[in-house]
Amino acid sequence: MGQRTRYPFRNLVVEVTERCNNACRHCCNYWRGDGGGSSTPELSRAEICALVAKVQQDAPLVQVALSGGEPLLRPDLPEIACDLASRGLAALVITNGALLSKARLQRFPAASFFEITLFSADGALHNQMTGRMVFDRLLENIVRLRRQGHKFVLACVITKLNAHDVAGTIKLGVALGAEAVMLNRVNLSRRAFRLAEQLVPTVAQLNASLRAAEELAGTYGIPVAVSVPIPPCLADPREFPHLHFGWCPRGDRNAYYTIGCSGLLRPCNHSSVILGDLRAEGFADIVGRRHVKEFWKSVAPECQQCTHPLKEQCRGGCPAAADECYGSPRRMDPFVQLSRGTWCTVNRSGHPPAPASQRRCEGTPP
Amino acid sequence: MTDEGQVAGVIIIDGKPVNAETVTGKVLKLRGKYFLQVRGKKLAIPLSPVTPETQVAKLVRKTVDVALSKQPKPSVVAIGTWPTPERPHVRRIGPIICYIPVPDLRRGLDSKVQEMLLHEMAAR
Repeated sequence: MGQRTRYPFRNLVVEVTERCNNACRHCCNYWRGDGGGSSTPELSRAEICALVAKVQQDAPLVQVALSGGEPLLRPDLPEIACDLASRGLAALVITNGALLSKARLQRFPAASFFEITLFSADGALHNQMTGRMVFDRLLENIVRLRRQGHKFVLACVITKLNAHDVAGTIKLGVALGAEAVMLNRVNLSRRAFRLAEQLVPTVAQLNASLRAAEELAGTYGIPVAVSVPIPPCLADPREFPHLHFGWCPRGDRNAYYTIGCSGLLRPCNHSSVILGDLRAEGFADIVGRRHVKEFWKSVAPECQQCTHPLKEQCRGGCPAAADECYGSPRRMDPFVQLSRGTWCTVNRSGHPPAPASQRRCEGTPP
Repeated sequence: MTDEGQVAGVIIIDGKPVNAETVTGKVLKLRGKYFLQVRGKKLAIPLSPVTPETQVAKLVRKTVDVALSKQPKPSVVAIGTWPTPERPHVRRIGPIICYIPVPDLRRGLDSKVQEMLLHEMAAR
């Protein structure tokens, strides 16, 4: 009798909705460019709980990130967080913070944890990047969140627009009570790829923003994570000893498979590739497929001759972004060429990736 | 007294590296003579062209770094203050996960840092 394979994954992302109340140009959600979002059927609270329980049979989950879209557009989000807590899981809410009303916050489990996006200490710039007039309300909501005993980390997406204000953003976040800061350089979706020249910071801008963060981290002991991988050919982590650099887990124990709002499983939140339908199949059955492992294994040919000491960690950056923008995870992260300014129009031509609704990993049953 | 720099715990004197242990001590002046109080002992500081009184006098009643040589026999080889290599205080935490904050990162900040930045941002 075969034994069920157990995988070591501790993290899971559940996209509880594709709807969002902001209109960020840099948004990495793949459905934003396909006209999807508001009409995609959403799992019920009970279905979400059942799917998470299903994953727990095959993996020792510790944390579930509730994401979207904007997860707080779901009126039952606090109850979903309570359900996860009753299963012994830490629920992390990834939110733009605009909908953190007093009534909603009171329904969350005590001392809940939030990841809140803040793009600039300059309200006008933050509003420009979100496409909404939300800055003042966001600050009020964060203060309310802290008063009610909840905690948060600040997530700042670095783009060409706000790279100059990373220091101010970090300071504002810490002043409001952030426990830590996540600096996430913009990670392109297929839609955002078309706006790359407006969004992707140059190598100089990127390094300047990291130096600003390094100074704050070194001077004040502020914990700063550079979470979305930055290939070391663009910014060498050894020059920023006080920042904590992250790499794509590529399917290892730190991987965070993502359950979409209709129950389809994907490699991560950056990818539109459908690995399987978690409503119909087991988690281990899906992630154990050879084609899933192939997705993670690929290293861009341009990177195979790399001699940097962090080559094995980097392996060409984000494979999901390469897949979304170029149609294959075996290409180098588009962020590299774009920030260097060496990207050329030939990359625009060729066969574009299939629409998100049809993109299934090879070998995945229809 | 030497003013050579310290490199990785080794003192360079006259071009020869000396195995040295670094401790703190205090310079005293008693009955017109200079002493170094270190590890509970009082050691006379011999004045010479290499160790002029003008330099030693500036250190009286001050806490100083003391380099103790173990070879060929235990002795003081240098006193004073010299720059020590900077070691960045980087707390090692677990693997960072793209997009998701890891629990290790959330260690909490010094509340004084938060207060200081709050005043700074409010003043803007």
